[in-house]
Amino acid sequence: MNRYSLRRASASSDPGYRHELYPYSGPDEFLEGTLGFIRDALDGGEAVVVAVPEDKTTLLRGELPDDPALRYVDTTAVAHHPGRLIGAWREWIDEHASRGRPVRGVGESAWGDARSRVEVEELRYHEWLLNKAFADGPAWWLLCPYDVAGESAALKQMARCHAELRTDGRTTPCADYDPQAPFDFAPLTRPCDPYEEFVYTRGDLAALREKIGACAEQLGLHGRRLRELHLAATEVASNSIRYGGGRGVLRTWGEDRRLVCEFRDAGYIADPLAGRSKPTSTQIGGRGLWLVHQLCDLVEIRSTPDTGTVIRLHTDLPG
Amino acid sequence: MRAARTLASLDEVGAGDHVCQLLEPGDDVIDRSRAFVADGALFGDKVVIVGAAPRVTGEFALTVLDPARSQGSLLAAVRREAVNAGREGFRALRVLHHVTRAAGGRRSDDLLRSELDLEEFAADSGALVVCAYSVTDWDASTLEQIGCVHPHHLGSRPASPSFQVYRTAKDSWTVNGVIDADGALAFATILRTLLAQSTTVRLLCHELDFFDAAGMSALADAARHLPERKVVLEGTNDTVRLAWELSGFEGPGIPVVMAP
Repeated sequence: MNRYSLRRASASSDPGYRHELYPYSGPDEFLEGTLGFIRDALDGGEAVVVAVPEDKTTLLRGELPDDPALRYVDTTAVAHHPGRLIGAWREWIDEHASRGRPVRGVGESAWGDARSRVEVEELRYHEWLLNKAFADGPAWWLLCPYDVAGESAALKQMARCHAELRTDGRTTPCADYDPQAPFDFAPLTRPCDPYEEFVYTRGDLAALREKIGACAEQLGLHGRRLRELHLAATEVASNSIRYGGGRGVLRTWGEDRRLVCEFRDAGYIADPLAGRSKPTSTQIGGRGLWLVHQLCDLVEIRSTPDTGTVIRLHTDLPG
Repeated sequence: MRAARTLASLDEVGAGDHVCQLLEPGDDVIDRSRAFVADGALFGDKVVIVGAAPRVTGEFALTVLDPARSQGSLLAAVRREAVNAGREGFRALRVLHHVTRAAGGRRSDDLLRSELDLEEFAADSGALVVCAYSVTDWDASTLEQIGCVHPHHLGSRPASPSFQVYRTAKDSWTVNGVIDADGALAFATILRTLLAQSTTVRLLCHELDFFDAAGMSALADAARHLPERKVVLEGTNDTVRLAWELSGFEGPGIPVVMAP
């Protein structure tokens, strides 16, 4: 079953993709909002995909009987990789939807376990991108529980990423949400000193990998993880050479037990969803950024027509 | 087992070698290859020069095959000479191929095909084949591609292609080095050529250091091009296999098998 077999949005009776924020505080409120949402779905013959941290899954399992229409997905492989989440949601709802029945989702990112401010920012960007990813169908309804008691809680910023807000079991439009507004990125952090810099152009891919390898070696990164970083870095640098003015600048540095590789070029990535969905076997091109998101621990992409593109690849260091 | 290597001189050419020799401006092909041709008499090899008749031929016993005048393919002509050499009691065939642009130029994919033919011929027959290219006649990109299908290199500026594909056994080809966006086009042409000639192409990738999405797309496109054929990659590392799967290429529509 592919995603287009899901029921599609219609202008009048079907609201299309619904993205609803549910601010809560503590386990009781979490259960109160999510159980009502899930039971409504099951009572109405809808399928439900639940993608929440393990402790929340345990809470829900304790309250809900097993039901073939209710599926808890393992988020281990994607929880800390915001760039992989849209592809994961597509797979989850494709796999779970059958016979054209509507699908609801309950998705809570691992805000409390986020390993850095950068990860929190990218998780929030993922929430914003979801609106674009599913804007043209299929129709489904995603409830995002959000713990306002969490250390990194920023309710107003989260509200800008959700069209609807759930309060006391009622859904209302989210006043802070503007579908036309650009995402309000926080400025990129400054590279940590000392950093290495290398200007690359056609024919320099091998030298670029050497530069990264040298930095990785100093930081103790090698083997499979280094090979994966080399692959991701080559994709980004190749894009600079092909689409970003023929050249780019690489910077590498270590930061908070991570190796960061930054690529700057003059190109512009017009589609903010580039690399967020799994390519098909017959698709021509478009695999580079997908691979980058799958192979790196964290990816930051900033691109404007005026300032060009900056891509940062973060790789966790061993130990 | 054949292995890629760089030669310091043509004295080192051995049975089954397929050498790429780059000629500098002003170099004469016979002057630069004199040792190779002369060793024919020393070792009892039949010497064939492929190209226009060389300036000095009297000092050596040799046969000249001029591609511009010969009927049929170069490979067929060389194979005939190999059969003749065996019948005439020679130890082996020694081929000096001076590759020049034919009228109207030669497409680099035609050149690649011709060189893959010679590579297979050298590996399977034990012939000694030296291909001489003048750096002034060919652009750097073509020479880089040509270098990819020669396991052996010689010259004051020996070609150091980013990857090499060479015959290792009757049914397999070794791939080494780095295949990225810079070499993907050449890799695609090589694969299509190999697939056109056999139903299963076995690539030994134990020495393949790096294989990026552009290279994988080239592999997928070539395999799709002839779906009744199959490409088997052996010795791929876990990163290559993971990237292949992540790229969406794993499946029955693309007849490629990736194995450790």
